[in-house]
Amino acid sequence: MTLFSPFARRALPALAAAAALASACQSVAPVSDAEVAAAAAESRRDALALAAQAEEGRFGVPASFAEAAPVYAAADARLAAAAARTAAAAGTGARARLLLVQIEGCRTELAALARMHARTGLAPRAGLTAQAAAACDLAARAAGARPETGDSK
Amino acid sequence: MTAARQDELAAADALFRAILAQAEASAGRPLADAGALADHLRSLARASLETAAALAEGRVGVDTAREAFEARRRVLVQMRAFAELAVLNGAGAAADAIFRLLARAVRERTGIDLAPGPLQAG
Repeated sequence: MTLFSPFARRALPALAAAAALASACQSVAPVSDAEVAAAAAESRRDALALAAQAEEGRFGVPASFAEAAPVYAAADARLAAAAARTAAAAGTGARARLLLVQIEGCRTELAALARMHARTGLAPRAGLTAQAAAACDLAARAAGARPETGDSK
Repeated sequence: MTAARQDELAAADALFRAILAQAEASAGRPLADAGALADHLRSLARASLETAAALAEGRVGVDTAREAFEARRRVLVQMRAFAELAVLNGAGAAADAIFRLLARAVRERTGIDLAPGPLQAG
């Protein structure tokens, strides 16, 4: 057992237990805002690309942040604009609120990844990138963007 | 990959399959087309094991491991909102029932309440 195994024993069942949420999420209808969908789709591509590079070991040291910083910044700006557009266009409706949660979720996880990257680098195969990849894929799907080939893994 | 780690990953997959089967039984229909969230949840479960191993091996520090855990918790909450969106978009009562079942399992195992109230339909 690892040093962290008590956490793993507690968290894994919870993560796995929520798996059947999948059944609830097969038919999330697209939100008809092409700009928001495009922004979410592009941010998903960024998140997946950053995750792939990190898992290849390219971002293992903090100095590597400089290379990726423009991508993080562009994604953050794009998602901020998408969130503002969603909030302004759809008012306080439930769908808009839930889409906003998805967009902000992607933005939050990319920002968290960026902070970690800048401070310590991103060790490969350390479970550091899956969160941003998942959050941004959900946001893209919620916004109505088509799944990308090979994503959501 | 060490044999112990392979065992842990195999255990996670087995657990994932068992709980999915439980959800299928609850829904009264197969969830073979489980979709994106199932993939992401499996990914997060594996990420938890990776973080545990990286911490044990000294490849990441405690603060980083803790941040990764907090991120996973945030994404679970985001998934809850995604499920709610699915309900609003007509996934219906089966989705609501399955989510409540799983939210209870999460709460019993972690104390994290993902479903403070019923999902709102319509």
